Amino acid sequence: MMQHLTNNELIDYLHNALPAQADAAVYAHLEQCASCREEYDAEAALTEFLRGYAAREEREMPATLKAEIWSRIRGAQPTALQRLAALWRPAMGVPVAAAIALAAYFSMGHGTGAPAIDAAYYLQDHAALTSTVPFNERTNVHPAELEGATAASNQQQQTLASAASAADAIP
Amino acid sequence: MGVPRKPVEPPTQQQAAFLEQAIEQYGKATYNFAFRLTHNEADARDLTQEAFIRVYRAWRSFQPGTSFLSWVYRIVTNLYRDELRRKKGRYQEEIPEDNAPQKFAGERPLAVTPIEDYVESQLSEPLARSLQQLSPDQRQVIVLADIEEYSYQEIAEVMGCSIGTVRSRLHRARALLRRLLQKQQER
Repeated sequence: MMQHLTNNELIDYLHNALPAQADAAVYAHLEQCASCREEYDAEAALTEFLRGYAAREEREMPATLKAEIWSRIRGAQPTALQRLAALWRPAMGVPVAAAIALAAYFSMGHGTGAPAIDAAYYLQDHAALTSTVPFNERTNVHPAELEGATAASNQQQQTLASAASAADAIP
Repeated sequence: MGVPRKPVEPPTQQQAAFLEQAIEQYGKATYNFAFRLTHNEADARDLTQEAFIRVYRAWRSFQPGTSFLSWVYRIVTNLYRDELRRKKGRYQEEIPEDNAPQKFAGERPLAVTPIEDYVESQLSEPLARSLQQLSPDQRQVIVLADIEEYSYQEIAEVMGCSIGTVRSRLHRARALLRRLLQKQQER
């Protein structure tokens, strides 16, 4: 009878990492050596333990992670409003957006200088808020794509982007 | 994580579809892999995000017929290694004190936890604690060999080392893990 197996041999055996001949030799030894079998069981139990632990600890990918990846690809972090929209959903988002839009409209005063926020912004905002898939390409209206988009809308985007990065900084 | 962020080129339709499918199919596995390496949600999140940005950038270099997951794991591994180099020592410092409150059993209060979950959480806690005491490489080799069930060859490809290194790393990691678990049981 060959001498007792080392734990390293048992670990390799357990992971199917031995050449065929060595594998067969370990198998044959385990058949007839109770103390090596006991040690093998302990190694196998550790693997089972790790698998059980991993299964119990398995988590879902965070819901916003996919959107974050896409918004990095599109060159912008999700805006603070988009983040809110993701949380609130249309039931709350639409009336709130409407209220904000109305308040902004009436407080602006007509014809007194260029408005600080243009219509494109509301379109984009509305699309973001009403969408159930807020970061989906098709639901995002980019101000630059709209007719009559002005420099003001670009400025607005920059403001939103910096607001978003400020929001990111909040732990 | 302070991974430097380069601007990303806008996607072609094909590239967008590739990434969409990659996240859909492998996002969860990648996130769990990252979490097992870091044991930290914020870092796992950043690693996953950065890994998929790399996937997106390098999508043409993926060879059909090879394992996509191994490719992503290799990316995560390299990112994690860079990050460790950048913040040397930080992960070691995060080993919880023995008396510190632990959060392994999830958020549910104990009173409504079914008994099986309770028993499992009692088993999980020493294991989670012991895994945190391994070096990042040791933890990773165990995650890949025992949890992901990768072959030594596949692990060598993911970790960028020889099969011999995988073998000796796994031997040492498991021996240490067993000792750590035993020590906790004796308490």
